[in-house]
Amino acid sequence: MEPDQTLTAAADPADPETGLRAVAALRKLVDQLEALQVRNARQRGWSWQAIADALGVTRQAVHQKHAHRLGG
Amino acid sequence: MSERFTRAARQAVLEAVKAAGQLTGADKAGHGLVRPEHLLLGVAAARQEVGARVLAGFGLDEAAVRRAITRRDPRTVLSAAEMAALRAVGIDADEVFRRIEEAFGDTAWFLADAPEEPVRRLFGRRGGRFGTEARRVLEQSLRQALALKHRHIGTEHILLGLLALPQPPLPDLLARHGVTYEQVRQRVLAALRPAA
Repeated sequence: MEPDQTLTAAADPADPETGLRAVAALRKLVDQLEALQVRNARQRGWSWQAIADALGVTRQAVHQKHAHRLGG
Repeated sequence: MSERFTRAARQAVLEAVKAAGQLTGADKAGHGLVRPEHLLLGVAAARQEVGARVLAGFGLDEAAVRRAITRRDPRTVLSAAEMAALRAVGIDADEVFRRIEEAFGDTAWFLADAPEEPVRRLFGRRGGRFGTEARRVLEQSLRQALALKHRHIGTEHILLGLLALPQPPLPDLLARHGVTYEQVRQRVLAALRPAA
């Protein structure tokens, strides 16, 4: 029953349930992608400032969000 | 909270710490970030304990859990339902994952911990770094023990905690083996009941 409902709901992009879940999932995916890309940039020697510029945020924001995880 | 853990439960958590280091890549201090799936592996590794015995009853022994969580499935990041929701609005997350793995290897996602996740050290000197989700599971295991009026937290309570707070990739993994909170709870109670 439940898996069927999920599939039916997923097939209809006008269904708010589907649309909202897609937004939430996308946000999660973005977070993961950001973590991955920032990590990669740091490993390649990018400065926090350069990363912040590319992401379009302040150096402080990006540092606060990622530095604890990556060190430095 | 950690003083309430039985020896075996503590051992299961330390096993999770070790698994996190092996599976997710270690930080400068040699520790990985513990996530809920590592706790599941820790529970399964404490074979003599109720938690592992109940899991084995569903066909999930230590080797099976390790296999299931080692191959970093994109679904560790997104559940099947989330992938379906994205497809419905025209985003092929599979393709995103494919390209990431092509560029960074299939351990890439392990390395991308949830960025905003405040990490905390738990379980002392031999312990490790725990992400929010794993920490919430441990808190939940305490609640599960209290709800059952048990004084100590055993591996069975960690298992119940994991089921009470399902986080990807666990829901898909557990569903594949038909593991549900209710069933596990019943089997745990049956296992703990003193033999007549």
